[in-house]
Amino acid sequence: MSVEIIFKIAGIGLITAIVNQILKHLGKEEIASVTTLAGLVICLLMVLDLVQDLLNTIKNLFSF
Amino acid sequence: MDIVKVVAVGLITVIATIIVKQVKPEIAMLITLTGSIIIIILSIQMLQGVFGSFMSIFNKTGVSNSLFVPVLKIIGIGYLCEFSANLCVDGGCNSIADKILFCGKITILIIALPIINSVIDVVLELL
Repeated sequence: MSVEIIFKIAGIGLITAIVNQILKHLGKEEIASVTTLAGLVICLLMVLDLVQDLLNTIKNLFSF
Repeated sequence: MDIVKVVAVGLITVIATIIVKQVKPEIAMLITLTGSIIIIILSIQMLQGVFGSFMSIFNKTGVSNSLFVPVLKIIGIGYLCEFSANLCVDGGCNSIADKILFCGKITILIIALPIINSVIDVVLELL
């Protein structure tokens, strides 16, 4: 529970962008858009775990 | 958990967000969300001790515990609404942030009503 998850998500974002550029130069636009979506979904899944942790912590602490 | 770690996480998040914003704006939003969640989780753990001492003080006063639970709920709702509203403002949607705050206020009002009723009952008994 520290900064490495931030670096992970930033890394995924950068890699997705690079792959996007490469695929565009190769002329495969449709695959490029799909890889962008894939990168976004991966990041969303990682963030969802954190959101769940946060909401559970708040639920326990403030006795919702 | 000292403040230095929170400051470090905050700065790293801002820098990561700026880097990724030029390339992928949507993932930059996710990084902001992640950073704020980490900071809030780290700081909420500090609250555990505070609420423990509040509970003991409250028990000493002899008042029934049921009055303290709504207060905790209201504080929790306040934190949650503030957190999500600011994130929506960061994402650029001010209207959604206002809606969240509006709903939070209504929820707090609903939770506070029983306390108001009990206070009025006590006052009526005194008269």
